[in-house]
Amino acid sequence: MKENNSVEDIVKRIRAGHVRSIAKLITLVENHDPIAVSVIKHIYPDCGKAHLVGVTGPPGVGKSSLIAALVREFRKGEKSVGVLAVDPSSPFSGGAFLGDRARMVELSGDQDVFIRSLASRGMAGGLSGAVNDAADILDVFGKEIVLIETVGAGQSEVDIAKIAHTVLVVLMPGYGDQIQAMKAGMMEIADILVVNKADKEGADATVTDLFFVQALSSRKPEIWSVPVLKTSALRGEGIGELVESISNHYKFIKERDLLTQKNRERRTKEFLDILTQQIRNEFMDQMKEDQKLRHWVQKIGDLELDPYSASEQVIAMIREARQRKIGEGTSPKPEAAQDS
Amino acid sequence: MDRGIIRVLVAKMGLDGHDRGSLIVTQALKDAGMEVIYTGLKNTPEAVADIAIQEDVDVIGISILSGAHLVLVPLLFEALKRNSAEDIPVLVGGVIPPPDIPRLKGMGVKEVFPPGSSLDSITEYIRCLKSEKGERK
Amino acid sequence: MFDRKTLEEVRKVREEREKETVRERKEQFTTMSGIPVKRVFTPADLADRNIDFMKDISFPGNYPYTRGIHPTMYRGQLWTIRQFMGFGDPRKSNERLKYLMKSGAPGLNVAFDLPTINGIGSDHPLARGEIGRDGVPVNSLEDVEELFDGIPLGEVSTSLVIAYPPIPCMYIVVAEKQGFKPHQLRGTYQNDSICRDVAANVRVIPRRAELKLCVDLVEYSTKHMPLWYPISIVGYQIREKGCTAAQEVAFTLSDGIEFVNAFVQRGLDVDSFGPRLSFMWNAHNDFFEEIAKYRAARRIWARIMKERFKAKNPRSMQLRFHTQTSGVSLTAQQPLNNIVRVAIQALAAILGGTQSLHTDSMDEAMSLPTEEAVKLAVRTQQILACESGVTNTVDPLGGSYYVEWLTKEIEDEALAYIEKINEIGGVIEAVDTGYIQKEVTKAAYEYQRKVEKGEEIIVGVNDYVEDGEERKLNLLEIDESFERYMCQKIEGLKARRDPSAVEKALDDLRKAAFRDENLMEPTMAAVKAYATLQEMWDVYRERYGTFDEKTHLHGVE
Repeated sequence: MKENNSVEDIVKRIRAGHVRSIAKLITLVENHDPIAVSVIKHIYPDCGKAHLVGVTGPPGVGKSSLIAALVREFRKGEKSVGVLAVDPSSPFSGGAFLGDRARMVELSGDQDVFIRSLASRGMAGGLSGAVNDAADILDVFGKEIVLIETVGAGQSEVDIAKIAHTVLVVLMPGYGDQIQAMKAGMMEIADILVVNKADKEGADATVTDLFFVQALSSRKPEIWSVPVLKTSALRGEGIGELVESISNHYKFIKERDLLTQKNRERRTKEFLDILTQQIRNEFMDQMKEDQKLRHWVQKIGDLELDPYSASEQVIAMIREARQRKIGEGTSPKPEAAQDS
Repeated sequence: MDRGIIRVLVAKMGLDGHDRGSLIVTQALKDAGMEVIYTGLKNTPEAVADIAIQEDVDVIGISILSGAHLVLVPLLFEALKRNSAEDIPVLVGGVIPPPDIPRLKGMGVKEVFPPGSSLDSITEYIRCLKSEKGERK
Repeated sequence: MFDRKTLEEVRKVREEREKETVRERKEQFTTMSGIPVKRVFTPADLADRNIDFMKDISFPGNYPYTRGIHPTMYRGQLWTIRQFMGFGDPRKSNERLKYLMKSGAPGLNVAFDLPTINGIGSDHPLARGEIGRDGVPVNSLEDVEELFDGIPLGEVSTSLVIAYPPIPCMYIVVAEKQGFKPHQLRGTYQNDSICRDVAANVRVIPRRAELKLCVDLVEYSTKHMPLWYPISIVGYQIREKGCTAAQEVAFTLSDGIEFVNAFVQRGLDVDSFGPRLSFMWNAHNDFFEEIAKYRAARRIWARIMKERFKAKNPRSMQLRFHTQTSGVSLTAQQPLNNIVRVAIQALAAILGGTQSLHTDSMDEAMSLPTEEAVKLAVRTQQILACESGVTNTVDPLGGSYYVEWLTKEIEDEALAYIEKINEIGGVIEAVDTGYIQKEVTKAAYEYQRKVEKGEEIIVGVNDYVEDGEERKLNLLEIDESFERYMCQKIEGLKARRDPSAVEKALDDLRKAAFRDENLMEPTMAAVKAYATLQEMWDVYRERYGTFDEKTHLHGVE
């Protein structure tokens, strides 16, 4: 560990743009270290300047290469960029192969590009629990754009929509059933649809298909009209237009105050996730110490108490406690449930 | 708190295109529960240092089969030093002639794994490094 | 091949034998590639697979060439000893070439260093530490002149392990300066960009652009160099990566199919280039598997050329090949053991009917070989040729129940893979989607695990290990003065040459590239003007872009 690791020192180094400190802080966040929590509390008010762009889509469409191309393009406009690349942890070993970076080799050496690979670490959504905090850290670090690349299968597409301001859904020509894409919810969350590897056959047909499917989606057109763009990350084609589209979307949601709404939604979700996790942890910690509590929970397993009633009892206590004192910023923890 | 998950950087420096060893090691480390960041090919030593820092890895594993290790490894250490990151342990694997092993260790390489090294030995070594670091804290 | 009555008797005994429980050293015996091997093979095994002598085995020199591409093979002419070499700088390599020729290894086989292969100069930042290590550095025509100084190119056969126009053009220009016309030159270019890509991860420009340049070379060669093999389709590298014998055959022949398609699309008649295709295989440890592999490959390729590509000239159907013993099978521990390994591998290649052969030196697991080690490798071949008697007859193992069965087994497995790759859309598609890389990595990982569990023994490494053994071998020292020398040369060259001539030549090259013309002639002009390799490559990169995607990552699950 570093020598001066008081919270103030860490915060100072973050604001000063000290790369190693930022990297270490992200690790602490991933490890749920209490120091990380303290730091986040400090820097939280300074968040909100970065534009968070989610990049998702099925495997093999070239997300990483596309991100590399986007970063290069953003850098031409002299923007400071961060990239969070999330890959799945093995459910068996807990390990992960974080290989997205390998497709971004030419970006190394640029001091204004910070790339971090994260493993999902068993998060149900496929998205790492650390992404929110890591994005905030990069925000305060001074990154104007943070690109978040996700696993692109299953639940995580939806999760990314709750964090990112702009969501890119990347597909490639001939990507089978557009119906499949609809089922996966990708059409719902896309702010921009990208057909990458557009040099391959069938690109135009895919674009047309997507326009059609878009029209059927439930999103109201006056909110934002989702463009379908063609790119070839390897050839560097269509990247300029995509960057423009991303900026346009950000402008759009800012002007219509949708940005505030999105931020609020994101933070609310973040709070609820953290709350759920903390209540859970707290309860489990208390169970470890309190035998009476353990016996109480055991009753659920022995079919003497159903889980709904048990939960309602705990909630009732929180309500009671809330009536007693809340609203000033810190709420008391729910007390251990007594025998009912 | 899961302080236990080990992050390893598996890096290829220079023009060496042989990745069989590094991909096999990557798979083994992943199966052992570690998070492995793979740099891909054609990285300069400076880039590898940058990546190691951004990814806050517990150890850097360099795979070299081109013979360029005596030139590239010192450049890596220089880059790490420039960024005050010389505390990150460096391991080297690949076709390293026996006389060069002490030379590399003299430069600061913690251990060298020549052809024939078992995957388990590499995994174990990295685990030990990490737990030593933990004890020193 | 055998009458019904005999087969019935054989089958009876076989059945009885198989019912017996006998204690053997292992639960299952397999080839190195994992093919289960029975205790004993019989005529029934061949009959069970419907192996027909005239259709499947036949005679050497007869379709489908299972037994060899010539009727006489080594009775007519021995294989060419062709030792792979290249290191340091052109002067050092020139010395080594002459040494090899003096030792009785007449086939020249030149490798180029990583910066050269990647189309960058010795003065490029990524070239640091890489110059002259795995091959000769070449920055311009000057270096090729130095490399072949004193070697009459019209009188030797040279394999240039390189793809793309610049170095072949340099070779042709040097030959011309010596007084030899292109049509007098004998040799090969590796020119297999797909193999380089998948197996050695050399990627400079996008895949299909690489293919285009490959076809340029072949087109030029087919017109001007009738004695030259403009392509060597390589399986060696991918086998080194860890795939099985059947995969080696399948991926390589699929490669071949892709190339033949490309040449035909360019408008070349299949029989105009068919006889000039060559292949390169690995010679690995499992003796009989390797022999069966070569035979299976010949049979499959003959049928592909005849049935799929409708070749008429028998020579188009003959798979001629060079073999290199496996580098990855050598150990750093107890290096003298490698001499034995190489001898066995070489023997397999010979019994498999190779046209030319490279034997590794014992110290190659650690470093580039010393003169002494390389000489021994050459002597190994000479002893096999002269003292062992294996060259007295053609395909001596033909008819062996095991070998014929194994040949068919590998053939069937390889054909399944070839079909799969066909379905995917060809080998480039299979590489783009990572299919081949996945299969190879899977096979490699499984083998590594077997070694670690002790199921596969590597003498000196996981068995018969000697503690504290440190045999002091004299290893080849590469000193860094090569780097300085090469960089100085570039400076000197740029000062001496005519800058406007270079500029014009590069400009012409650029125009030709953007017009998608054959780039051999414009490259040759640039070469003559002493443009540097990097300068020519920069023009190629302008036209085709740089290759970015790292699909070799496929394979880690």
